[in-house]
Amino acid sequence: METMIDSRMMMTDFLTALFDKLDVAGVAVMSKLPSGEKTAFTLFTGKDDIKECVPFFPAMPANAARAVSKFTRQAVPSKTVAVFLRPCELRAFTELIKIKQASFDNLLILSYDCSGVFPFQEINLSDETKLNAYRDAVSTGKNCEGIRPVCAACTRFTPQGEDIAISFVGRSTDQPLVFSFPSEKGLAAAEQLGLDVSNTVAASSAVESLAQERRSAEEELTAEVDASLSDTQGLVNVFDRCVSCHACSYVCPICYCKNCYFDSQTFEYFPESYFIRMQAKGALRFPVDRVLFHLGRLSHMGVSCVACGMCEDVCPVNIPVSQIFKTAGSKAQALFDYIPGENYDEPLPLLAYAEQELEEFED
Amino acid sequence: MRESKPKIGVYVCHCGTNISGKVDVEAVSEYASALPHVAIAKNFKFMCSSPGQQLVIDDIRKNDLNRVVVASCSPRMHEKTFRTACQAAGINPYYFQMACIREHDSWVTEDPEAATQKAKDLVRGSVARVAHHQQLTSRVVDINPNVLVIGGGISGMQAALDIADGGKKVYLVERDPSIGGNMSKFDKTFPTLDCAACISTPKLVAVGQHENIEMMTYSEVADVSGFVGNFTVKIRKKPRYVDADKCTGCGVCTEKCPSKVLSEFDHDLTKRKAIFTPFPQSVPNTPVIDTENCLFFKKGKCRACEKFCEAGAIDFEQKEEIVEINVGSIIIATGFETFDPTPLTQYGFGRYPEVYTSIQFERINNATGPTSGKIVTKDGKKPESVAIIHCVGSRDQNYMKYCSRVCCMYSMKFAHLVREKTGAEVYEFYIDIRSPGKGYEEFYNRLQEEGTHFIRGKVSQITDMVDSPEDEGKLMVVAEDTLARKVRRIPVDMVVLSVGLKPAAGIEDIARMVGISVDSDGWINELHPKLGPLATPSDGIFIAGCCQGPKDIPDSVAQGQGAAGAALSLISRGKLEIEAAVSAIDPERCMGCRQCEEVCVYGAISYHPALNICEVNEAICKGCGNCAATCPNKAIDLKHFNNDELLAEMEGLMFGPADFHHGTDEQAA
Repeated sequence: METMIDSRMMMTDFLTALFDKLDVAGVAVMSKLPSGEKTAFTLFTGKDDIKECVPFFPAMPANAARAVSKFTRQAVPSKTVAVFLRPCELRAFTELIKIKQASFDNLLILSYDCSGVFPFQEINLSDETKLNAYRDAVSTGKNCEGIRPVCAACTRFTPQGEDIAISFVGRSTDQPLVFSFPSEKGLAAAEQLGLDVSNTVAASSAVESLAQERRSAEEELTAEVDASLSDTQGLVNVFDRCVSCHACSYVCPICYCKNCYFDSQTFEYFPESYFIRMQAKGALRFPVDRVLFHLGRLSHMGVSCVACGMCEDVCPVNIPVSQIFKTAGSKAQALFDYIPGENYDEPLPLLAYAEQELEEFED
Repeated sequence: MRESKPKIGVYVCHCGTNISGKVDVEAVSEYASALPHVAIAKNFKFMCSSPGQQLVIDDIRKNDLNRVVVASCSPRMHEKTFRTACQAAGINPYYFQMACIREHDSWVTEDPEAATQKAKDLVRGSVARVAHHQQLTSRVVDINPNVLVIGGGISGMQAALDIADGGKKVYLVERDPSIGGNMSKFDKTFPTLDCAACISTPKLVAVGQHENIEMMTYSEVADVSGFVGNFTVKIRKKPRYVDADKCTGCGVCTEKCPSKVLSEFDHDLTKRKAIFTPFPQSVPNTPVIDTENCLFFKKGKCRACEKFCEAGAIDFEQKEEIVEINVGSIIIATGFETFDPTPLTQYGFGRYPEVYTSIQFERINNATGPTSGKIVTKDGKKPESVAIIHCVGSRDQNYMKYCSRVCCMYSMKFAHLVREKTGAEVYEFYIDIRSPGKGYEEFYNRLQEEGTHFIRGKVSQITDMVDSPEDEGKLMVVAEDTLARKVRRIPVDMVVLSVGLKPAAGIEDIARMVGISVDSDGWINELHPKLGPLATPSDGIFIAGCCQGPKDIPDSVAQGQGAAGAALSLISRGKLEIEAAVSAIDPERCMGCRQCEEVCVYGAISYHPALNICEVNEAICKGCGNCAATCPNKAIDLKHFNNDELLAEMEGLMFGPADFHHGTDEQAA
């Protein structure tokens, strides 16, 4: 555990210092949209609009890893850019580095222990009651009512691989920020910021109590998903209302394909195929290939699923996509002893050769 | 997408009674005739016979068939035959599909009814698939007639000479300062006892003088790229610090050099200078400076060699050079090195001065060796008794599990030489005597008649603790004589450890560079143990000699000649047709994640940084499909095995028009 120090800075001071003392080219962070109620992940190139930044606002308009991948894929920013990533976004970012879709060169990664977010549709900047309840839950280390089920069951809510960590759970948002610096880049930044490292702060016990609550929530969630998907009929029941909009794949940080295979010509069958299938099955519901789509996506990105919840946020028919993917993903990951987003050096299971594996599935 | 409406001909083969004995071929062809797009369905006794092929050709021409399915044996047997027939009749050879109803059906199914049903299923799958086939054309590339031979031992030299005599250019790369390899260390060869130097030195000279051979000694292969017929190879030429054009090979530099180190060529039995040629008959005869031991390179002073060199050939400014060459084929002949017996502490190698490895003993026997060929102990005495211990490191679960093949024979050669030169008693400790080869068993019999003591048993210990005072100074060899069923303790003056053979260091690097694999012992895997012993899975890469496994000299020479023949045969073709069923990357879909590059074992995929996509080199691609399976974007299609074709085949296999019972309600979602 890195030493935590009291920065004596509020968020606006810190953001200003990033430009003034660290001379960053930009800061990528969540900010208020001019229209008033919603937020967006924004790349600021100057400090004029800092007051619009709301890094801790409990909503995820997009998985920020996807955004950061856009400006780090192929080319490295010429000057340091500071990016705020939630722990799940940071894990997604690490996965994207492995598949050469992102790079952390010239990035200063800021993260914090995350208390979860509300479903995007259900939280607005003006929702004072909800936001107050959220602040209380953060400072006491509890799950706030109304946050996404997949967040409430998230046990990996402390970041891994960041340069500067902001201690969030168990703290009050109107007090100065508490930092720790787990990387070389972070330590160098601390020095440039001129922080007095002797102002140490104790870790909050709220983190552990939240972790406990999360662990039992995770167990419950797993049991629930397991029960609902115990057989093929379960799969059919759960995905029955899918409208094949494929929005879950468009917002998924791991689904990085230019054109999804399921949107390709391969799935535009010849008319006779529909008849053959129809005759074989007795009936054919349209759009076809709904379970196939989800199973396909699960097999493509399941081992890398970081359970960020974006897919569920955008599902127009309220399928618990993320809860299913988190549960199935964890099982696939356990099979390969693979933890997505833990270390960018670790090869993806499909690319790692093991002389003996999956023997339990032989014969 | 389809260029023409499919019109399929289906041909069911009886294969004598191989298929028709189990499968009702009549019923299968009748069933096939009712499948979608099938215009003609027939059965015939032997489809692969000339009349069988003619049947297909005539039907294509008469009935305008544009797709053909033959239900017969495995595509490994006759896919090519029927593709050629299709091509002869004027349709694309890839508009053909084979249904394997022999190996996968009639040979392995007991029940005739089930076999007939399975044949119908397989035919239905093939018919569904062939309708989706795409026309493919193979590309033709020129073959560069130059050949690279890696390794200048007896195999490599022989290969180089045969190709050069055939009029083709050979680059012979050898990492040591001289060619010659291990054979040039030997004195006599078994079982004929002819002089190794007398038969190998002329080869060295011939290689050195051949106008078609460009020798690159003291050089290593640094990189191989390209594909069969068109390899580009980077060779790292280490600096000799002696200008080969000026050097006359007079040897004064070596004589004047004050720095002495243990000789690698004599396996530490003698010392050499820091500027040296490995042995008197070295080719080329240009010395090299070993910078690690040269006083000038170590301390900046000396330059004695430079001072005394009348030709002014010493050049301390020489730098390492990378030379690029273009060749069409590569022969790997990297040979072996001997096992180091130091870890087998019970044998006392390195602890007792009179324990030698077999390769050291070769040097002792050699006229240019440390004792000028006399067999004497380190203090100059003629030995009265010598023990030779077989299988040191070989046939040993802890070291090398395999038999090194040559040790029994060279051990017996030693026994003969020791008796001939010194009259000493020789004790051979063996597990089994292995003497398969022309004249080998006869040599074994001769040795027994000569009075060599053969003791069947593994030596448990060699010690200088002797039993009686008169044996003081001797080594005690302790072993169980498993035939006499008693423990023997034999005092001897010298011990020879017949060490096994292992792959030469660096072989994995070479294998990786050319995209081939080594087995669990480190030897190179040949293409086929029986029918492709000199070829590798990488086209245009051949192997010869001990890089594939332990071999004696005749086998190594034979392989060198064989590999040369294979390379010459490739060159004679001039052009090469490249298989059309390879993978292709759709640049519109590729995201440049490079996962395909990592799983491609042939090195056929490369990354194009400017476009941020990966590309397939069709000439290297073997069509294994690893990349297509790995690509999460499905940007890669394996031609002839693309998703359309496979899905169509699977749907065809699973539910035909008449088999509705296969489906279930769940699949409706």
